[in-house]
Amino acid sequence: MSDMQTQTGEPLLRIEGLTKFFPVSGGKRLFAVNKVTLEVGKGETLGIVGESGCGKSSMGRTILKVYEPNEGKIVFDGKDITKLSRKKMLPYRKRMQMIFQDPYASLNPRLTVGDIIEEPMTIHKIGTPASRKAKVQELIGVVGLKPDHIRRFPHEFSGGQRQRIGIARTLALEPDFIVCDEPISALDVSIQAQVINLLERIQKERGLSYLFIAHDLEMVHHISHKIGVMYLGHLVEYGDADEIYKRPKHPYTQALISASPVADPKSAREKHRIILEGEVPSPLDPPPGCPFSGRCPHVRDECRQILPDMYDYAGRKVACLQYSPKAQGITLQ
Amino acid sequence: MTETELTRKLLPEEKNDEFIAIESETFLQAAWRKFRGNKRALIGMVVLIFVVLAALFGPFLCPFSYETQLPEKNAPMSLLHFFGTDKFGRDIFVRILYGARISLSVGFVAAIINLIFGTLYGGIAGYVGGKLDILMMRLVDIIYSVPPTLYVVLIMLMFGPSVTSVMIGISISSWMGMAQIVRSNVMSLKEQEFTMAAFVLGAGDSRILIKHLLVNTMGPIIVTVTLMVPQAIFTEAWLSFLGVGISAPMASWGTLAQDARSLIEVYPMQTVFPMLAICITIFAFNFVGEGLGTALDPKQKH
Amino acid sequence: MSLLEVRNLTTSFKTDQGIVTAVRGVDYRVEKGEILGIVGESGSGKSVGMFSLMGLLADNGSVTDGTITFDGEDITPPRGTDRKGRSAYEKKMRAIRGNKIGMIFQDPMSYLNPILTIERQLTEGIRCHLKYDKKKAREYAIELMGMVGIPNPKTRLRQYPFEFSGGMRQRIIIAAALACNPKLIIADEPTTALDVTVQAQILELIQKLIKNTEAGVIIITHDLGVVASLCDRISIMYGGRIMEEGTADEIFYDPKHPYTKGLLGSIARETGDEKEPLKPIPGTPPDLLKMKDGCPFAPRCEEAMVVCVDHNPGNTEFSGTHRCSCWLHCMEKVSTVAAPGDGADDAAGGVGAPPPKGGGTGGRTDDKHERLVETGGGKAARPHQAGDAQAGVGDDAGPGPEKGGPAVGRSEQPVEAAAEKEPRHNKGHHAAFAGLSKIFGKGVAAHV
Repeated sequence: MSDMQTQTGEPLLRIEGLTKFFPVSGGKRLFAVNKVTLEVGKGETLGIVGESGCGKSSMGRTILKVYEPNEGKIVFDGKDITKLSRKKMLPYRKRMQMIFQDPYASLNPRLTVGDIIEEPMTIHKIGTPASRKAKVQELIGVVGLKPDHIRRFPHEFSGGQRQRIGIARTLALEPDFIVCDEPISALDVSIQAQVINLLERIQKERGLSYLFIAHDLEMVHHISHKIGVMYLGHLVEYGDADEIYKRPKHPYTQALISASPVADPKSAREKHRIILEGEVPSPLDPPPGCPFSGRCPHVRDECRQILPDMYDYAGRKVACLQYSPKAQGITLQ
Repeated sequence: MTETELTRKLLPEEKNDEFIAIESETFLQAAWRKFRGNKRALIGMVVLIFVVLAALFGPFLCPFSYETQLPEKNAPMSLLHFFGTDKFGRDIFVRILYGARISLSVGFVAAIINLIFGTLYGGIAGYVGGKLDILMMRLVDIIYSVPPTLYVVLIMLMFGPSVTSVMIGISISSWMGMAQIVRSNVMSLKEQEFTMAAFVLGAGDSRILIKHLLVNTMGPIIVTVTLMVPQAIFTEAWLSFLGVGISAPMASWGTLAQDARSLIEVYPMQTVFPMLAICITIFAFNFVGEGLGTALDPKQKH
Repeated sequence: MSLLEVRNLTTSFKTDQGIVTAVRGVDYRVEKGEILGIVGESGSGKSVGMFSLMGLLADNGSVTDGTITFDGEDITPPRGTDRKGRSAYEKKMRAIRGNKIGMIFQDPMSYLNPILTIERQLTEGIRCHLKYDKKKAREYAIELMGMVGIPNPKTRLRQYPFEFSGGMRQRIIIAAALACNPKLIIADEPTTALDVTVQAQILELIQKLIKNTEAGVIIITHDLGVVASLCDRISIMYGGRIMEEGTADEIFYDPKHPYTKGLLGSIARETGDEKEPLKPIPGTPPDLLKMKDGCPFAPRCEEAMVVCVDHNPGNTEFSGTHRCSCWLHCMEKVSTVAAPGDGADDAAGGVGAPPPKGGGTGGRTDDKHERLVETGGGKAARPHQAGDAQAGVGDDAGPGPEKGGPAVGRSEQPVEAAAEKEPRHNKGHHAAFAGLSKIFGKGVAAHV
């Protein structure tokens, strides 16, 4: 699946050392996103996994400049958009969109479905009122709803239907890149697959790129070409989806994958589970050194002092001292 | 039905798996349906319509003006003078009808000024947030700290005693409640994902504020406005009763009660009628307001 | 005899918009030392069923049909408003809840009183049910907390719920549930609110603790992954009915019901090297307000037939443990049973009718083929309609299949509001944290 890279070599989106912190009382800073570097190619899906509070949603929002980044660079289609003003951002807004987690909160309850889907085109002054209406009709069909649904209000729909309305709204601008912020976690199992298939179909038809944020590892593995694993605001492992899912290297990724329940009794019985001690520490008070050092089963003294870089190892990037060039050198000897 | 018919596979169009169960109704339609179901609110509304109509058209149907001084002074209730006459021989019923015009217009004007100013002020403070919000809200605190009567008295001193002065005075001293309600609603709506969606789509500030935030605050705003009217009527009546409100020969319900006060031991009914008018109107407004409150509350959707 | 036996359980709620029957004729049983998983999506009635059997329904809900037997004792809630019966039932249940039946919930914070120490809340039930004195109860509480893996139980016991993390709170709830050595443990979405790594801890803990007891366990969840690793048997619920029941292997490797197949097709499973495309179930979950008597899954079912719309299929048994409620299999069974023989015997007169047995929603019609008649042509089978006429409460007056599919729409609002949430929070005066006292029968709430 990794053959879907861009021909030019330049990825559609590149972020470098992206950092977002929020000031909290007592002069402290809460680092939601901490020096994250990654790329999303054209037509590619990058899945971001992590537990609650790992900063995956904050990262998605910072990329779309809902939150102003504190440090680092966001490069979209070769253009640095990090410092663009809200006005100058407008043409990029058309190309970078977002799908939200909560299908109940993400649609304005006072607008009809037709108005909701039409609004982005009104904002960007695309087409005539008549052509917009036609586009709304087309989009409602794309997401599998019926034409007469456009006069209805969001509260009349089920969660899955609303999520599809949200997708139609996003598609109205014909974006190149969509941040999917936990789009399926609020949905029932049978509906999740509908939404995933819809997203995949749209990607195939329109060559979109996704940043797919979720905590369901199986689904992320299913939809993604590449996976990034986050822990306490840091990206700890990043690379090809299959590789990471089947042969995780970072101890946290290993634990995460082994802990996620598999819907298969036989492999569940055979599966060796790595049960981590304790819970994710508060991002306000992260441990010194490696953020995972407090729970890591392979922790060494140096882990508590040195914050590991992203090291190249086995065709991916891993932020763990085990895989630092120095450590690898030692092992080789 | 034949056997084969029973085991025939359903066609896709027979299954209707995307069927939507509820009848489509707009926000206001739903609110009206719920409002209709509330008896007290309905009664309140009927009374209000009656009071407003009486205030608008009542005086035209009466043989006397509010100033006409008739020879019978302090007359009791009769068919000619429904509520009798006062110490100058003016028909109390007619004066109450005229008083309704003044009292109601004070109430409505104050409520409308509140609506416009309070909504904008609170909306901006809540949407922009941060330092501006702190500044704007401290200003509200300062205005709150001065007793409302003082504003009216000061305005009266500046512009002279008139209905307009009273309206301005009451408006100045009562918009803060609306501003606070709008602000807190806007602040919580701002955190909702649909606001973020509008931002990501590229919507401008005014679009987000009006189309997404204020539209969703419509319920509380309508309720507050409805409850603001009786409050303003009451304040005006009270000010007039103290003698700082509307002055003779114009008469609001408060002035009428004040005029009759000196004779309260001899002719108590002269005080009772204007007070009843105030009471009934305020009750009616409160019932309607309460009914709207439940009808417009998004939490009681179904 | 089974530890718990539920037959034809039916639960309805009165709502503004009419009567919602959230559970419609559900049968299940739990044996000693067995883990039963009940899997269903929102609105499937999986939680309401549990609240019904615990007698913890909201005031607008009531059990309208069925029997519940627990440990040889009849604990069916009384129907109607007979006061005496109600209070006798309440008394009986207070002695059972938290004592013989332990409960674990999705959101531990709702069941812990924020202003009382953990010690107070944990020892309350122990003292109430086990009649321990204060000191002994405290020692036992410390032992329990150690058992569920809370470090420094002695100091932690004096702390308040907010000082614990989500996973730790869930451990406390588990400790409370196990305190009186219950015979049955009911866990309602015990790990849904937790992160993956913490979920793994809790699941392992539950597994470990259960091994040491003889208790039967019911785990209610929407997560097929959770039941796959944990449960002996699994019941799949949809629209208030059990669609399929079987051992974990039967459900996962030999699913019979189109809904079960759809669920399994909806989840991403790693099979071999290639990613298989997901096969989602089309459409939206049913609106329990407008449900017909037929199979609730019919409007979304790819195999749906005309008969499915208005007639509820009985159970077809595939093995001692595996049964499924689907017309498709009723038909198959008939053809396999009847086809080898002549078939004409039964079909004498075309519409030959053995006496109808059971109700549409009713009892086990084990030999399903009795209700079906092989017709002259030997191709189509025909169900008996007499038994199916048992109209569910709140159903519209028998619309025929000609009228098209049953009304289906959003399920979340009426069901969620009426059925899933209220039973938990509305009962009792101290809505948010009356939970533990409910579990223990009395005590904690009185201190609020």
